[in-house]
Amino acid sequence: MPELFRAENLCHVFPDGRKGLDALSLSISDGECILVAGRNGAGKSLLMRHFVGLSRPTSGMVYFRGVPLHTSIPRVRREVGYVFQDTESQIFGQTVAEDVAFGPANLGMTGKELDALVERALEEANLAGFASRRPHTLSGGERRRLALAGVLAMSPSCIILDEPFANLDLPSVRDVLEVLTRLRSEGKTIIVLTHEIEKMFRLASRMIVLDAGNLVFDDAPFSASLDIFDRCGLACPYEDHFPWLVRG
Amino acid sequence: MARQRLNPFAFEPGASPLARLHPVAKLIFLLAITSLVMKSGVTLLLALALAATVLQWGLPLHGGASIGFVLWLSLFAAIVRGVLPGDGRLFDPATLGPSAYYALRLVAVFLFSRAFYATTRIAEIGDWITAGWRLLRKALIRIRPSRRTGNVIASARGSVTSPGGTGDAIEVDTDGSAPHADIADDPGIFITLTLLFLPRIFDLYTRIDEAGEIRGIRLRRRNVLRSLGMLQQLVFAGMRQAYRTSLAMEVRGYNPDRALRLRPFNAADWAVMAVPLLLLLLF
Repeated sequence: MPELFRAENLCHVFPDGRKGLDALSLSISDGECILVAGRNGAGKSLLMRHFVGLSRPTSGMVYFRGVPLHTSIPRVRREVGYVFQDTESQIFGQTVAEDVAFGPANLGMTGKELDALVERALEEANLAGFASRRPHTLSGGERRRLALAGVLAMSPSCIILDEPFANLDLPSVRDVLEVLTRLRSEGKTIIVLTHEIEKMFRLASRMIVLDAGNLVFDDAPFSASLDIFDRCGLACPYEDHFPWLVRG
Repeated sequence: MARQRLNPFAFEPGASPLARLHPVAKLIFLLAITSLVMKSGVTLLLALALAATVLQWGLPLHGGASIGFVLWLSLFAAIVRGVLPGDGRLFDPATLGPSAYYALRLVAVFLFSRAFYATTRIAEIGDWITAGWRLLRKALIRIRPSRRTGNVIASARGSVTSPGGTGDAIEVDTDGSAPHADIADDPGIFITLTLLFLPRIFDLYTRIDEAGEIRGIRLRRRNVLRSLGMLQQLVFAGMRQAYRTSLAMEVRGYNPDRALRLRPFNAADWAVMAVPLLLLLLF
């Protein structure tokens, strides 16, 4: 599979001297479904901010499709969708349809083409029939799927989701997982940042674990030893606590 | 939760047919009717106030609760007008009539404005503003090449740097006719985001107020220092939300050259604009 992202010795140092990412090197290919895990503050979101060009490395480089990422920002915007953890700030339409249309309208789409795209994105996010609803009347899970629909409407080849299961109840988690499973079967690259790894364990083809800005594990999820979870403050997904979620 | 319902800025189209009217038609209607309310005689004012009340039909009721604020404002204005008329009396009852008249004007304007705000998609207004600005800009470039435009044209020939002297040439279209759009070329997005943020700031205020109340601090009590502290939180929280929204816009590919959705006017829209303008001419 062609390479999508590559980080080479990526370092990020905060103004107070703390290291957010420490000489991190990894590569992500098209079509992968990646679970990025780690405790709070491990550097998961920071790494993704570098992948979408919202942060600049202190040293090292990030490449997107083989070229330095900072030189191909417009292409990154078209190809990579990012669903933030705080969906509230990501929703800026007065109706669901208006919000979903924001991205494609920025790509120059208009009229029936735009309407069709919005409708399709809402269907993909299991939000068909919600077009005229006001976003603030939606539940937490529905809002999360609305943020996802806004991203899907731009037809990205890669979707990054930051803590997509945070504050969601069981049915909402299932809804989000259902959408992700469908997107994966369509061949899209999916990167999910979470510390609730049990929810993505079966779906992911690869797991990356970060701890204090360092890469401590990068392999198939089931090849991780118990020690990794313990060391990185993660709940062990091998135990039988979550049978309803890890079903393939 | 109950206080959240008082949000007067919320978009609550309800089942009202107003929601289907063209936003620009409604804006022109609002401007014309407000002028009419401010200059009309008592009979017309009563009729307009009645019409404003009828317009609330089909709108959710809770947004109208802030009419209490308008009434308090009117009462305050009435007291200020009547106190110490200058002839030794404490209050002049003769000012009550004009004050009631003034209050009715305020109420009518409030109700018309609320009907407009509750049923209008701000993004549509924003798109029309940007469309107007783009037209104006195009016309200005044709009529009178400004310093910027001159520079742009010269820059297209490869010889001019930006007015700031940074050495960065201003970006131009390949035909040299206009610069690439930047955020200043999209005033509609400013208006849209500002108006869109009003209800969010209001909700934020409610949340901070409630959080303070749980910890024993009440914004509405007369404790100026504590209230200022809470308001400081409001400003910071608002700025944080604005920052996150700007990031989200960036990631969703915000482009000042974005496609605009401009709905055409229909007969009902023309009628909505014509009636108040006609009344304005007649009265």
